[in-house]
Amino acid sequence: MLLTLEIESEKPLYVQIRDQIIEGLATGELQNGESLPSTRQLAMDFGINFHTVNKAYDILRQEGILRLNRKTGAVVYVSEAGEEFAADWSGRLRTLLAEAFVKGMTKSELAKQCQSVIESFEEKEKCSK
Amino acid sequence: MTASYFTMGAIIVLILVVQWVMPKLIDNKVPFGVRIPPERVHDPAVHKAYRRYYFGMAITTALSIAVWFFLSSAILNSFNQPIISLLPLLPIALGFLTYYAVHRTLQQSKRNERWMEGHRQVIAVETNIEKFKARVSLAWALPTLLIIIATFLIGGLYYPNIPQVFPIHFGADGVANRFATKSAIGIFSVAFIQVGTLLLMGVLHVVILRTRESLDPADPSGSAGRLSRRTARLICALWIMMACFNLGMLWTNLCIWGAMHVGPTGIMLGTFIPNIVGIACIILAAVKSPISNSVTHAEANSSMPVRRDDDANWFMGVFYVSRDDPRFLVAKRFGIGWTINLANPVSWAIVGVIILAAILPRIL
Repeated sequence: MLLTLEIESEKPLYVQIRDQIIEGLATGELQNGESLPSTRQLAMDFGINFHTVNKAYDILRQEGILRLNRKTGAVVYVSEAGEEFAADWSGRLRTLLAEAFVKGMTKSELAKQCQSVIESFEEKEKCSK
Repeated sequence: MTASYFTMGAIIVLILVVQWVMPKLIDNKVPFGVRIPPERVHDPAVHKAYRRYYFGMAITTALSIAVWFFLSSAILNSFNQPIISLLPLLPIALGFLTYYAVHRTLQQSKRNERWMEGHRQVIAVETNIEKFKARVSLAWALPTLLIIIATFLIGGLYYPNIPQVFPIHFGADGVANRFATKSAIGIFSVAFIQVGTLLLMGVLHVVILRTRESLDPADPSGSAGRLSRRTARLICALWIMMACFNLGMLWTNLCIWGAMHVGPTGIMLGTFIPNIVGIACIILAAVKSPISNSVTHAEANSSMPVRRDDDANWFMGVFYVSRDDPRFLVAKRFGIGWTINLANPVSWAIVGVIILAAILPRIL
C-alpha cells in the first residue's frame, strides 16, 4: 500500500504511520499476513528518523496488529480484539462523534458520514484467528 | 599536437555534452535543483531559467574550446603540459557557475511568489517493496571480474619477460616519469587498484538497490516504475563503465610490462577511449529512462498533494545535508546518479576510505 507522511502536519509522524496502516487494513489495501518493510528500510524510504518508524511499529505491535521478528521482519498479524479494546474504542468513538455534534453537525449527517466510512471498508478477512 | 590534447579535448567535449543535456535528464519538477509544484513546470520564470542556463552554457562551451585551442598552439608547448591536464576543470567550473546563478534566481522566484503555498506536501512511499523493486543481477560484474583475472594471468605468464625496471607513473603527455624495480607484487600495483574498484562497485551495487526515493503522490505507481527502471539501468551502465575502465587499465598494464610497444600516444588513447565509451553508456542509460512525470500539467492544480519541499536539505541544490535522513546515498537533483548525505557519519567514512585508497598506493 501507499503510505504518505505530512511533515508539516500537527499529527505526529508515528501516529500518521500507525493510522494509515490500520486504515489500509480496513479498506483492503493491506492484507493480513502481508509483510511491511523493516523499520530501517521504511525510515530510509521516508528519509525520516529511524526511531519514528520504530515508535509506530511498536504501537501497532502493542495493539496486536503487527508482529515484529528479527528473522521475518514486520508482518501484519491482526489478533482478535479483547473486551478492554471494545470499551476503550466505544469511549473514543463517543468523544469523536460528540465533537462533531457539538460543532453543529446534525444526527442524520453524522449517521451518513459514518455509513460512508463503513462502506469504504472491506468485509473479508477483517479479523483472523 | 600530442595525444594529451586530443584526450583532454575529448574529455572537455564529453563534459560539455553532459552539461547541455542535463536539464532534460532530470525530473522536470526539480529544475536546477529547485523543487517546484507541478503546475509551475511551464511557469515563465522556469522557462527563463532554461534560457539563461543554455545561454551560460554557450559561453562555457565557447570559452572552453577557445582555451583548448590556445593551449594546443605550438607557441606555448614548452610549459603548458601541466595546465592541459587541468583543462577539464574549466567547463566544470563555468558550468557550475551557470547552474548556480540559475538556481539562485529560480529559488528567489519560488520564494517571492510563494509557489508552495496552499499545497499539501507529503512524502509517499510504497510498503510493498517487491512490487517496484529494481532488480539487477550481480552477473553484470562478470566482464569486469574476467578482465581483472585476465590481467593477473597475463602478468603472471609474462613475468619472465618484464624488464627489471618498469614505469609506474605517466605524465599528462603519456611519457613515463616514475619507475619501479620488478617484483611479484610491484608489477600488479595497477591491478590491485582494479580489484579495489571492483569491490567498491560491488558494495555500491548492493547499497544503491536498497536506496529508494519517495514517490510522486500525484502518480505513485508511475513514478515508482520510472525510478526503479532508472536505478536498474544506471547500475547496469555503471558495470559497463567498470568493465571499460578495467579494459583501459589492462591496456596500461600491458604497456608498462613492455608487452606492447605503442609509444606515449598509444598508451594514452588505449587507456582513455574505453572510459569515454563507459561514460557515454551512463548518459545513454539516463536518456533511455526519463523520470519526469508525463501526466499533463494542465491537470495539475494546487489541490493535489505534492512531494515535500526539501530544498532546505540541499545546500546549493547539489550537496545533501539532512540529519533526520538515515540514508547515506540519495539520488542527485541536478546530475545523474547518487550523492552522499553529508550529515551522515557513514558517508564521511566512505569518503575517507576512497581518499585513503587513492593516497595509499602513492605513499607505499
